[in-house]
Amino acid sequence: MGFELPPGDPDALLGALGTIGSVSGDLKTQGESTRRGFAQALATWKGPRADDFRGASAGLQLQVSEAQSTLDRAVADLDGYARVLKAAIAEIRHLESQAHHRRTQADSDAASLPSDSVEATQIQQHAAQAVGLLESQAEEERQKVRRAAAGLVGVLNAGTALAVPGGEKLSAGDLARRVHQMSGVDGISRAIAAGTLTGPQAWAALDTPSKALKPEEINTDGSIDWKKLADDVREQEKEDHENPAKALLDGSLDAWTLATAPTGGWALARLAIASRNFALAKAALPLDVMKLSQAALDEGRILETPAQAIDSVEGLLTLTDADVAAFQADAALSSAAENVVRSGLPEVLDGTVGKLFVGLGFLGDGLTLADPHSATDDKWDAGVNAAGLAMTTETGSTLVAGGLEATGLVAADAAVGWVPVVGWGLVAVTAGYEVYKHWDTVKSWGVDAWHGTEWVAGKAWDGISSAASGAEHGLEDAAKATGNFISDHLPHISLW
Amino acid sequence: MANVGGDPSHLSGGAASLHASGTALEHLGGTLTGAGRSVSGSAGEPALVAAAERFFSAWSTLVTDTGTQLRAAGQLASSAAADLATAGGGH
Repeated sequence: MGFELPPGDPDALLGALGTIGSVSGDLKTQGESTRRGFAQALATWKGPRADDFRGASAGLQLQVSEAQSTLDRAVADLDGYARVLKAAIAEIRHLESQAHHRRTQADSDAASLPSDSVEATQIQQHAAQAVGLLESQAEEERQKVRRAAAGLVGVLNAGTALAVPGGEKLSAGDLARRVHQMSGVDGISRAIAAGTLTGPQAWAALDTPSKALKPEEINTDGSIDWKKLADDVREQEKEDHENPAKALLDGSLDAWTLATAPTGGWALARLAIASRNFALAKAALPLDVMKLSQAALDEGRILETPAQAIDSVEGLLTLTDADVAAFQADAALSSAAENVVRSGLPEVLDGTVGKLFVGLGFLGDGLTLADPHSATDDKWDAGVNAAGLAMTTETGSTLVAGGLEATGLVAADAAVGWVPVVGWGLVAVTAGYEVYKHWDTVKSWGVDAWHGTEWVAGKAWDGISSAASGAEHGLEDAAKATGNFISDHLPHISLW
Repeated sequence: MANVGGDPSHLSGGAASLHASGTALEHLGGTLTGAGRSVSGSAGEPALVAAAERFFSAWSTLVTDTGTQLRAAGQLASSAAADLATAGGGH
């Protein structure tokens, strides 16, 4: 294989991902327009079919939300892959150049020697060994790309299965036909354009989305009660976990079976399946892709470098030197943490003690990420650590879910069961950042920015303190110290 | 139709909004189809190319179809508004 480059064009890939990132942003905008349009129509539509229309409203809003959030995730991970590919290509070219230089040098050194001399032979042998080593390094680079690609296949298949359960086994053409079959829109585009669409045809096109959610998961204005939906998805996952036979049955259901189920709520099984698929796929994703994909997770924008991603956080949220020094020197926090450690480390991270450490871990990671003096590598480690806490521990997931619910952001994430990465790693300390990013949502509640920030932080703190309730005496002290630190120092955080 | 009751102006406004969102989504679905082809064409590894083709085929079609469904919903709201206006409004 020598110095053969891995297949693919990372620059073209990044360009296409930029376009998809824009589509995702536009979908978000249209999702909001859709919500307003249905709400306006339903505000006074009191007829007997209003409930059917309300159900279709929620189902269609779910489709838009899923599309937007799934594209965001795919773009972030593909962005990470493109950067792994680009780095591998650059490295292999560099290795090839080194090999060329080594061979040239050896030829030059041996040129003045008799070709059959021992010294000349040794020079060429050493050069061959060095080139062989460089070729091995090139193979390692190609392996990195292959591992990253294999991980990405899992993520994309999980995304495909969210759109069409079992779709990862179909061809691209069959998938398109299956989606048309599910959505029931075959032929109606022309009828709409010609102005000949009949009422029964239009209602038929809304049949599938109208049955996606249970009535209790739908608000009066036709929007989705995301908290209820998130609870129901979690309950579904729990049932599947406790009943493998049911999970197997759910997993075997194809889209058509689900969509034609007689009762509402068919989206639940699909979402629970997707949640499991995503969790499995993410767990198999190589760390280098995971690290690099962080850069693309900020509001779906494709950031050029990890440093820019960090800058975007720092630009919105800065801790003063005093905040950082206070965290490092906080006697109550240090003392409480030491007491917890002395009382014995948890064998299982999600034990009672572990829950507190997860909370403390989020706090520390958040501070490391926000501290302008932290080294870049430390920040990435903190981000990945926070992501790991979020993804691998029940407590982390609970804290993350709490933060999501607190900010009303379960929309995208509960729908597909993702646990986002850097942003949610900041839940405990950088809740204000989330408020900033989703200011429109907070504003709609009529709270001002600062109080919204405090409220979200309070929710995060509730998660930490409730996780420690019933704990041994030392744990409660440590939990209180954590909460006191947050409440004492959060007001100093500058958001804008 | 006996399936309406409410304020025709609200229904008309909602219908127009849904129709506009539907048209926008159909357009976005088309853009996504093209961008997805570019991703597949530049991803390199054959297994990844195939997975990307499936992924973008499913989601671009779903986005497009969601747009069409929204236009259908807009037309239903529009028809309901017209029926209500003909009936003289009210509930």
